Amino acid sequence: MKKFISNFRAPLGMIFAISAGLIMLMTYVLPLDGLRAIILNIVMIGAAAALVIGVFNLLAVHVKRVEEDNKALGSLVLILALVITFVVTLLQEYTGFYPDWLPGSDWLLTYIQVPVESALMGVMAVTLVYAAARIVTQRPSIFSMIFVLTLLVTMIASTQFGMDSNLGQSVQTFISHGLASGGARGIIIGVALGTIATGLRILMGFDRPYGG
Amino acid sequence: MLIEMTLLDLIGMLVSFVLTVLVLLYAFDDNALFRVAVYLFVGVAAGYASAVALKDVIFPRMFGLERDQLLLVLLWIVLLAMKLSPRTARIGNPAAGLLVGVGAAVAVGGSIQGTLIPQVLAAGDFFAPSLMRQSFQAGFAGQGIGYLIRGLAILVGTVATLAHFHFGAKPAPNQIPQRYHLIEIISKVGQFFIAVTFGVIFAGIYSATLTALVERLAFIYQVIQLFISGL
Repeated sequence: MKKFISNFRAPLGMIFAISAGLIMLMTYVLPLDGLRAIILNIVMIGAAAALVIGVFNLLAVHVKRVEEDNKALGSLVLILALVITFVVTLLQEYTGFYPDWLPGSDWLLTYIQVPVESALMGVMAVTLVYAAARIVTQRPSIFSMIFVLTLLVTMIASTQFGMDSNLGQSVQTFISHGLASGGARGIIIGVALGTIATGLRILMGFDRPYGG
Repeated sequence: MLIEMTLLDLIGMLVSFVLTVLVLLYAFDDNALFRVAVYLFVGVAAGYASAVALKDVIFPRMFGLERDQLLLVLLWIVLLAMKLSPRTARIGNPAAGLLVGVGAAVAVGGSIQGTLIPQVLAAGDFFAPSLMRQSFQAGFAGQGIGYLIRGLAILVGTVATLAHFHFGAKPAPNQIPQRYHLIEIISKVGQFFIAVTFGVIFAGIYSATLTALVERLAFIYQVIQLFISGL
């Protein structure tokens, strides 16, 4: 059995990764749109299945935590929330008898997901101010000053006072659509080049994130 | 106002009120109640995401497959599930390899077609002769020159930013490898553009988060007001 399992080590995974990747890359160069659609359709099922498997793994980890430590209240809350949301969403979709008086998936999203999400964003407003202040006090340099100055100018320009003034609008346009566009484009191209390099490393077998 | 609400809405409003307060308390200090609220958030998000993946992706797409294809896909999913246990994880390597290989190819193709080529082409948009000709013919020479200056700023910013992330260095005996002098100068210009870009991005994110904070505080105020007036 051990020998059988060891046969499935990285070489086999690498062969699958490289061959599937090369076939997929070929569909970008050659007129093979139909083949690309079939591969993508199947891979989307696999990716969605991987997500579900990942969620089950999360569930298993927290079940283990509850078993080991009876005081793991957070894990217990997570397990209950996960299972209830999962069951309720599927029941609502596939059965016609889900009662109106019970909270459905819309209720869970409206009254739990959205409030926590926007409250977390609200907390971020406080932490961002703290982070900006720390940049100035702890790492003062010409570039941190430029960062804070740009931040202040952009914030002032987006107020009613800034929008009413022609100078404010001109400065805002030059910073946002001129200087920042250049930096943003450089960062976007850099990210794309990094993605290509990482992808090619996987397709050449240098990186094996699938195991082994 | 309270009478018009259903019991479910009323409970929902109270739940979101409590959750909002628990999360906002984090601004003062980390506490156990905040973490419980976040665990609840993660649980609902994970449960909903997996249910949507099943009902909107896996089931509809699997029903469209032929019998042989369906069996292969099921086998693939079973192999992927083998990754759950460290003991059987190796069996799942080929299945994971297939997923990663196609993902890498899509990322490479998508980055070239969707980002690299459009961004490089867009960098030259402001220098289009037709744009200059139109501005000058219409008597707006200043506008044409404005386009040119903006295009130059963007081009210099793009090149300098990319140069800042160039870490190639010239090896020297008994010395720490150093970047070429020209690259170092361009890198400093790039740092200026990156600082400005991050400043603008930060301002945008801060505006969004501030809007969320004001909305949540307004919600808390409304709920308290509603209960005071309702009683």
